Amino acid sequence: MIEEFVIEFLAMFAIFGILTLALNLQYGFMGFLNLGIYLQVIAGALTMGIFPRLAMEIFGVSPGLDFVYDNPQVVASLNQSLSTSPGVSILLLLITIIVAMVIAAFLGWLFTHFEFRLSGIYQVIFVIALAEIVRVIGMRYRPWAGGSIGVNLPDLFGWLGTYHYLGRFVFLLGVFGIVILVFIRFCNSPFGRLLKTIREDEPAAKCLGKDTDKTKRIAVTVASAFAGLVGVLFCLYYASIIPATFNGDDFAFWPLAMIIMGGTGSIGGALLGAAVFTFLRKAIFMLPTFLYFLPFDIKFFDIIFLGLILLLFILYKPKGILPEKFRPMRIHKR
Amino acid sequence: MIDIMLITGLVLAFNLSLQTMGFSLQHVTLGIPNIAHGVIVVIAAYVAYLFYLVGCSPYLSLLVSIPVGVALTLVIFKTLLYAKKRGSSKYALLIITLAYAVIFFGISNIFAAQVIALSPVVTSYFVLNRADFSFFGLPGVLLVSGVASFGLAAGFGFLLMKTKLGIAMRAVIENAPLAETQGVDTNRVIAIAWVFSGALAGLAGVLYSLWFVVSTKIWMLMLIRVLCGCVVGGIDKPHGAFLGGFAMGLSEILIITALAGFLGGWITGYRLIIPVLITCVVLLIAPTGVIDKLEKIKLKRFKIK
Repeated sequence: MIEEFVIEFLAMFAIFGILTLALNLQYGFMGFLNLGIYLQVIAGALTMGIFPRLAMEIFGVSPGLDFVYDNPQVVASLNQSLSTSPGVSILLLLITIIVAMVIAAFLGWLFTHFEFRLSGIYQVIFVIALAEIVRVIGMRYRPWAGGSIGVNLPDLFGWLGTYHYLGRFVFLLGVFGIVILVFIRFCNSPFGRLLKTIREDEPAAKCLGKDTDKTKRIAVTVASAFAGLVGVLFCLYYASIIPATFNGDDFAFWPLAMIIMGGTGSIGGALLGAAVFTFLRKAIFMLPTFLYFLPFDIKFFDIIFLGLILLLFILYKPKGILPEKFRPMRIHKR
Repeated sequence: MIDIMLITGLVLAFNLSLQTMGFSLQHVTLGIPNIAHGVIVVIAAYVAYLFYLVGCSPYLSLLVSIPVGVALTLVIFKTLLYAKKRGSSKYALLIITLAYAVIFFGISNIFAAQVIALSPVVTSYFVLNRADFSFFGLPGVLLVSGVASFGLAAGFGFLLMKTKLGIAMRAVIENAPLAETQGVDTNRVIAIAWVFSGALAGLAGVLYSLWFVVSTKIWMLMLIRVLCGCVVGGIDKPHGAFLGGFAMGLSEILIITALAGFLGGWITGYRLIIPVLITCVVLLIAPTGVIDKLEKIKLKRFKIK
């Protein structure tokens, strides 16, 4: 029980940590509250539908079967083939991740052309609207990823034998570590400082000759790519694509709460928030065994709890637990 | 006999115009879109369901749902004022409404579970069109929502243009600090605007449940439709938003019906896409809303004369 809890917690921490960092790049660093970030998560998740089809082509198994409608047979035969060929598995994994990140980044770049036309706050709901559309398409269109029912995916770590679950877990943490390093480098670069300048005073940045629109676009594109990665990792971890799981509560509002609690504009704060919140949510979902006497489902309490935390932190501690540090610039003496 | 899809489109159009009017009124007074608006609509719909299950007419539930809508809106409003006093940024205020939306969503789920437990058939969806009255073969909700939407819009327009309170409200919308120097109690005026839009939300929820299927999950759908209507019509002008909501509701149903005739019934599942696509196109042509363009055309014609 405890081991399962720890593994589940760490895996979710890795997934939501990446999402929180991606959202923090846009909200904390740039000042663009992109609550439609789950658009890219869904796009990444739906891209996972590519690799089973590629694998079906490669192994030539089950020519008459369709991946979605004959899902159990296809997955069973693909699992057998993939468990004996580690090279193909790793190749497919890399291809899927790269394709998903490129597609998500492209979508992020494309929609900035509409989003930046709107004034500050209406942007926010417009991006939610766009994301809801992609979610509706994912949930309704059955032939690609099973619609609202979802599909199972073949196991890409089957070649590890009995350690396949552990392999998946270690891969997840490895990717998480790399992403943290990338974000630290990216956010402490001159580009990251330019983003903060834009957040503080966009006309001033323009006066200094910076192309602010282009900078914002690049930042959104980078964050979108990592959001796409989140979708891939989530599907990989649960070995299934269920488009209905990628809703706004879990993949936009919770990460926002994590950032606000941890500290906007700081990487450590975002990670702290992600850790605390993932732990609390996992704990709340375990509570029903102790609180069976309540007349309603405990998962509704989970969402009230989210709202209360958001409210209290934004009212009384808007900078979070680990606020952003302002380092004064070093002035060279002549 | 009017076509059933036309009735559906009109009912949705009247309903959305009620909601967009309230939504944009909240935006022009405080400068923040109230994300929790859609959840309040859903809670009002469940109040109507509770009345139906007890055996009363859903129209009677307006006596409860409007005060509930007003009360919930006032809770949000008071918190926003408190946060403004503490010097929160605009994004912080937006996140407060988001937090309230999430809290109210949880509460609406708990409330819905209690209400559904009363019903003989346990489903998470409901529609009350059987409890509606009919006149000349048309559903009563068409008449009621039409009269309510246009009547309230006209009444509110009269209030804005002719009364002292309306002038104060317009002054606050134009420039709040300046209005304050002229002796207008801005907080009171804004509170009246918010109370009005809360009442509109309560009304819209009850009328929505009389024709459309309601579940607690539709608040996001509602929010997106309302936002699209507002953006198309003109966010900063309640009368523009009213027209935008009306056009949006009608066009969503009529376009999807026409498309379903061409392409087959599967397309109806994607009907949420139509408002957003229209919004995208309108944003490219008229970023500040259609009403601005219309007013400019009027001005030009005036100058030529």
